[in-house]
Amino acid sequence: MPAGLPYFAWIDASETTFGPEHMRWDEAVFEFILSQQEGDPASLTAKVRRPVNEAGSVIGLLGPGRKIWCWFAFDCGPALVKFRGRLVGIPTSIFEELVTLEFVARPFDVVAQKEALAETLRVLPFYDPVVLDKERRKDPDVVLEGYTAIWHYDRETHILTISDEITGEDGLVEFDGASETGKVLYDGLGLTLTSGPLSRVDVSAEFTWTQQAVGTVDLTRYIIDIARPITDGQAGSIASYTLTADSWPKPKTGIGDGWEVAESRCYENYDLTLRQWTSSTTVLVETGDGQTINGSRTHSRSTFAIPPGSMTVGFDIQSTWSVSYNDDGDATGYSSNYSSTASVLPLHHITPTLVAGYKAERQCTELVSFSLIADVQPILTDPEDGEAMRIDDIRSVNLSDPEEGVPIGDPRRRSYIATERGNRSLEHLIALARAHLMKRARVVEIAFAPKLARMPEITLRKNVSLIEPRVGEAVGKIIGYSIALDGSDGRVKCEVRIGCTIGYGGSQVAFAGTPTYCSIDYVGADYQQFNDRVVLFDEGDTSVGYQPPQAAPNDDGIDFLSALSAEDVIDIPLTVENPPRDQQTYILQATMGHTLPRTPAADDAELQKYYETTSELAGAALRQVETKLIFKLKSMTREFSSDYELQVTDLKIPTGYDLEAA
Amino acid sequence: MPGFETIVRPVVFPNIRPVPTRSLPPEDNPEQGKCTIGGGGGGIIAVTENISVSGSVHNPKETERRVDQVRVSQKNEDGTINRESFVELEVANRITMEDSVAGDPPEFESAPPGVGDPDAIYPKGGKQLSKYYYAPIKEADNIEITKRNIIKKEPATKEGSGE
Repeated sequence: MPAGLPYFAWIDASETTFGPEHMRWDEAVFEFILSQQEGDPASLTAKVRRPVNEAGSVIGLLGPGRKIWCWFAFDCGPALVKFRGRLVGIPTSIFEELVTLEFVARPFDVVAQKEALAETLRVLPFYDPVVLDKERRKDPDVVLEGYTAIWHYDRETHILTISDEITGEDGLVEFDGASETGKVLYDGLGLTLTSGPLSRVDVSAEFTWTQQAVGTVDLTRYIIDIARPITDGQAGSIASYTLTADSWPKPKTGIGDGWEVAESRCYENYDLTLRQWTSSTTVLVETGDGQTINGSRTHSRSTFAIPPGSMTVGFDIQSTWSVSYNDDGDATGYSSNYSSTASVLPLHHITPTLVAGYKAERQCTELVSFSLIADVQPILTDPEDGEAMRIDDIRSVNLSDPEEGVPIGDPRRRSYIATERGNRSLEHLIALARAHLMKRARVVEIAFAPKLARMPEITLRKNVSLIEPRVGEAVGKIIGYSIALDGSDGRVKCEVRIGCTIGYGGSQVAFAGTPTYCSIDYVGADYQQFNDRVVLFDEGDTSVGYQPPQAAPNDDGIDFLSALSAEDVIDIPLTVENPPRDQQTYILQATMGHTLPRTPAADDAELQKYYETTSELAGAALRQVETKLIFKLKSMTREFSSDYELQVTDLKIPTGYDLEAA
Repeated sequence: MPGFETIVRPVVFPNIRPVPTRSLPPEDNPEQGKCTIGGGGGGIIAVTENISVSGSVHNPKETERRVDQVRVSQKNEDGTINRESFVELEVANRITMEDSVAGDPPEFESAPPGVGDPDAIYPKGGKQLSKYYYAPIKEADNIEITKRNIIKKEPATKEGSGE
């Protein structure tokens, strides 16, 4: 068949494979434009004779039973440019002899294809679900955020794929400028600069999680080691006039933010139970002359095991005696009573235990920022001063949320970005910045008119290498093409547009770095942290690398992954207010001016009053100087934020077009 | 010709990020969350001592006596009896003494078997009555018992009567 001949066949939707049977002329095509732009399905605009039936009557193109799919082919000489599409819209100029039909090579199952394809693209580091809202993860378009790729619709098979915007997957179409088919037409050549390149992307991202941990810490030794010497307590004990075993905190008592007593016991070293003791003695003497002399003595005491260091703050003694006589003046009876009451303030020697239980719910945030600089040729200004983009709305879901699969792995961790998974998130951030820079580095757009014979090679999944005297050498991704038949003059116009990056080329190199702990041979490459390490952000890409950060959380230092000691969780160290010595001094001062009148000597009532008020004074003074053990445990509800400046290399961008050479 | 669908590089996807979490925390308040272990327990304990000493001297008190009334006539040196010259005497043959008993009174009124004077009685009220017997006087040529076993009570008690 001669080159330049169009074929048009109405088909069923099921006829997805072009065959010789489709090389027919169901419609007489007078004029057409077949074109496809990057990201869009191919479209065909064909001007045909208005369809009529056998009787010569006009028929409706969109009538029931009419086929709406077509195979269009255009003979380019060596091969056909083929197009399979479906009629869209309402034909225009339907009352003229020629009507314009518009077809699009858009798959009818584009949504399903896109979702299926998106599912395969949801891989790290290009796609990171933790920085996407859960509902928006279902959006297939969101999946391309980290890729330098765009949807591609095959104009024949309607298979949806993605195509890299810099390097096409289906190879290179060369126009060497020398061979017959390698030359492009003189007319139709154009070079435009779409915009200045993006020289820098500033990224800041926020990774948050709730640090969660549950456990216990034994504080007994810590408390006693500090409080015992201050209170002059016995071995393993604390001494105080007011701190008793009963006042020791009981289990479930809150002792700080997120802390409560898990276990506690406390006992008094000395039994302070008041015990009664009584002894009685009676003597009966018979003198032999009928006279008897009776004698009795009763001694009763109430006492307890008075601990060392106890104070006697009051002492009351009452002593009475009497003698009775008969009429003869002889003594017939004698009685005496002695009673004393000592007000003792016991020094409590308590031996406590205290195990603190924690339930951590700490909001942690890691703020990561970096600037990725594109290694691009300058156009108008120095790239360093050029246009910069800021991406600062990136934030993660709660990385310890079970519904999200606990991306942090172990919610007790202090750092996310230093984990293997965290590194993937960082690589995703780099992928985002890289995608923007790569896309914007495609500054030079060249349009040219190849010979018709080369058009069957052209797809949007290919690159073009163009050598042309006026342009020089250029390599770029095909971002659009068209073939048009002008019905007025019968001329075929072909056009291909390519986008060329203006980088300097080159590649980044990974560095193993210096291990911080031991040799790599000993423990493997993933065991320890490294200094000066450069990791390429993706295995198949050498455009950019970064230095994985070492964990440096700006928190209170608690590492829930290891066993915690009291020293690990103490925020404000233990202090002892009013140890026994201070209490003694205070009580003595409080009662110092309280003395009995010496002249005249106090009577019994005054004495009694004296002792009562002494006890009251001592008790009141004691309430002013209660012994207190004060400390603060690190908060289990606190929030922390750590800043990280990620070190990244420059982004190496291919040299699609050398502006400096041009 | 414009595309049939708008597919652009997702430079700006609105609302694709998770909802921001809480705003950054304020600085930790050092005074918040402090643990204070203390207590106003421990008070003054009164230790008492009491010593009571008593003593009493008891003299027994006669409450009753039983006497024989006798008349002793003069006996001359020659051994004759002058009945006109005599003295009358009362000779006690039993004296009842009352004494206090130390301690609680016994629950019985008669002496427990084998204890104390078999005639002693222990009336309720803590008083012990002891009876002392003396050899009764014997009649002789100048001694005449005029009346036997006259009971005499201490004036505070009833007047006794002879047996």
